[in-house]
Amino acid sequence: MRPLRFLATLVLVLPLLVACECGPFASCPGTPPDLRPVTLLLGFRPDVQFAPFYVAQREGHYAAAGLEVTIEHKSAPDVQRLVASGEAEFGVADATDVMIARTEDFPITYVSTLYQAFPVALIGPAGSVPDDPSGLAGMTIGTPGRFGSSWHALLALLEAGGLTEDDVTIREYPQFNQVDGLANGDVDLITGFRNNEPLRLEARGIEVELLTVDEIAPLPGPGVIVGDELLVGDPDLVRAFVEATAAAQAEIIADPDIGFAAAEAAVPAISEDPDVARAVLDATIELWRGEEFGAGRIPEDLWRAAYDTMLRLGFIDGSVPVEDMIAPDMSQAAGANIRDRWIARVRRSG
Amino acid sequence: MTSNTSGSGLDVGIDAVGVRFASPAGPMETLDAFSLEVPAGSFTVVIGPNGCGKSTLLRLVAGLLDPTVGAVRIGGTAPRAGDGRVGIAFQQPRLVPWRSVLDNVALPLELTGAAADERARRATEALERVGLGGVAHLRPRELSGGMAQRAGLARALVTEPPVLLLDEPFSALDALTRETFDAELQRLWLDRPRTVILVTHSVSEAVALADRVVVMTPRPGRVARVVAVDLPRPRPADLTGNARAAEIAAEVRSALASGRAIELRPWLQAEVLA
Amino acid sequence: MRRVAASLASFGAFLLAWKVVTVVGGLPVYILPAPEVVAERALRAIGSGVLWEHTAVTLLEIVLGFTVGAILAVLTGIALGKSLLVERVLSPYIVAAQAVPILALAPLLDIWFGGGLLARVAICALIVFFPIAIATMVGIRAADPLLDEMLRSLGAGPAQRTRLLEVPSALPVIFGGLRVGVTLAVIGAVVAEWAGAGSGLGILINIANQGLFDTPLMFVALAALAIIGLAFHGLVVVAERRLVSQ
Repeated sequence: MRPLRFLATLVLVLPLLVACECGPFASCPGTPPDLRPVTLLLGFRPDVQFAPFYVAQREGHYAAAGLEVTIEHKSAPDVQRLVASGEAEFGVADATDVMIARTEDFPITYVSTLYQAFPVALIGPAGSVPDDPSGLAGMTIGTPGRFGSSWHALLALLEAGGLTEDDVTIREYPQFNQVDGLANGDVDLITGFRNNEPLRLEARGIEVELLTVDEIAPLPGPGVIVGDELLVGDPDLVRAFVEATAAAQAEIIADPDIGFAAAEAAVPAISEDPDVARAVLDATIELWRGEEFGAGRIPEDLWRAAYDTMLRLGFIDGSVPVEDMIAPDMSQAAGANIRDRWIARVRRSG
Repeated sequence: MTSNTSGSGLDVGIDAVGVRFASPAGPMETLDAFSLEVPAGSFTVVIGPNGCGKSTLLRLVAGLLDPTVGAVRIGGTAPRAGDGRVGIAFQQPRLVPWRSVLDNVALPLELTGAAADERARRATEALERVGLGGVAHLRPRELSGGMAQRAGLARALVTEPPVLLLDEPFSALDALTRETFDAELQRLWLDRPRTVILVTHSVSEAVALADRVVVMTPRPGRVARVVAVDLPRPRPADLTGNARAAEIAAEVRSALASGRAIELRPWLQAEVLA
Repeated sequence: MRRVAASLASFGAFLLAWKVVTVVGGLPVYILPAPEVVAERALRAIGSGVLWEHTAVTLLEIVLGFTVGAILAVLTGIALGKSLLVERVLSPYIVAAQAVPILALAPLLDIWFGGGLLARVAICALIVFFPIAIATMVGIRAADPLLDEMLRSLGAGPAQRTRLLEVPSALPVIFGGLRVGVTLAVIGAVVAEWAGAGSGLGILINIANQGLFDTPLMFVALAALAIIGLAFHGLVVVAERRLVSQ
């Protein structure tokens, strides 16, 4: 090459090589080349309740586990479908939905519990909510639709009170605005999430009471699902994700401000009403830990009991055993040891 | 509905009528100080250059238009569309495509509320009179141009109106058919007389059919001259070789030309003068 | 006879292509079930009465919604076509209503009409309204002015001219609008159900998808909707052949 042309090429190329931190001339402090990219599917839209995932991303729990997690939002059936087909590695789903999907041969498995307490409850104005589900007879109940964990919980409660769907009047709110129905007096009770509807009603000045399933017809709460192919092919990856998520959850339980800060960064809508979002987060934390925080542990007895309830109610036909639906060994040994080990490791690489 | 009790039509009077339209180019006068008395039962042909207002004239008599100044009388009273005193046949057949020929001809009777069997009877008779007896149940699109035009004429005649208006009824047809239809028209009128006003471009048609030929000036239309036609009836449609007819035709043509003289453009005028 | 054979052949090709896609793509039943799986699920759904229970509801919504919407649309279209003033006054609202996505409006309409069948008929009627009204307006305006003058010369008033000339001459265009409208009515019924109903094929889709995770059943509901759309469209075509004779 002629000298001038060579020089010109060098002048053009060299700055590019220098600027490219990830080239052969430099190492890249910002992007470790051995992080495994995975996709996590969360429900519907960003929300403060997904704080554990936001914290795990932000505080480096996933990175320390060797994961680069991309979050996408899909509707519930799509989450299960995409995780089943392998399009996404991880998803969050309701336990009762997982039972039904698994019975319909969706190859997914529930690997970690996010909510130790079941989030759905029956909600009504103070003084009008029966302590015993048999007292529900003849009442009008508002619910989004005849599917999903709200519906399963409602029917489980009715069954526990010796009642069926025919003993109450159901009013459907496909727009998820059953709160309005309760406020207008169109319905006596509504199904709702313990960390959501009661707060909204109290903000409208309505004192509420709850009837929860935990003591009456216990059901498992939402958790993390993975496709069977990934579970069998790379169980270490699954375990790493589960433990990183649990560690993030533990951090938030210990210091909710961390959770709120991460959520604020990830959820633009919070800025419109930060006080409500903070209240929701605080209520959600109570649901994560139930009686005590389990670091994702799957309560197998609860699952078996709930499986039988779902079977009796006709939501599943029993063709797939409960053992095929859960993988309790992905989130071993609950408690502080795991939590502290992970926090220390994150701080070291920080 | 007015019946033709006099047996030979009603007189039509046009008194100093002017018609002015608003147009994008400014106010437009189509007729100006137009006066004409049409005797009952007579056959009057109106002839004039394009745009002189002859179609406007017909619409005044039909009651489709009101004059800006002046008045129009039929048998002493103002015309009103649909009162049965006027039948009008247009340059196009104007048949409703989704009705049979019979239902088309019966349309004027339908609008006045006549019963179905009376409508059918009278429409059939009208079709037979114009020589279309066999096509009653065809659709307009199945007719030739000449047949469709005759059907339009049948419709105009079905109410036996005392006044019949024809707006260049045969100009869209070929010359041979035209002569035939002119002869037919004359026969129909001789058979059942009524007042007829026919508008045309054709001098030979005018001379063949008219008692009087009204020559109009270019826009705004006025009466340039009224030429009497004293040829005996019935007349053949083709009057070539008839000397008197040729004289009358020449008189009509010169009236048209002198009416047009004002409109000649400078270059044409130069040619004429040269 | 040849037409029937051609239709059957093309449907067979469609089924074959569908099967091939599921096999070659290795698509599991919960993503795209194969035609025979859907057919088997359909038979079970018919046998258990589930399919008819929901289909009957949706059929009623479509029939009522389309009828109400079409009648209102034709009447409005005639008014729009005959009067420039009416068009100027009404068309901003009509166009605006059309531009707002019905999916967003439907929940509001559901509340305003008090939920229930009335609300769903209203939503369905709204969705079919625009194409039929516009087609009617265009058809009315296209009436032959020469024929209009001819009728005026016979003393026909505006109402008579509408009845004798404008509406019959507009029928081919109106039927074009009705064809579009009737297929939209199917969409309208489903959208209306999603806004607030207890049963119907739209609800069955939701139940199958979100509640039962039963993808073949979801496809059964979709197929039922397609068949309903085809059937109603065919009815409109038959009506057109009988009523429009030009």
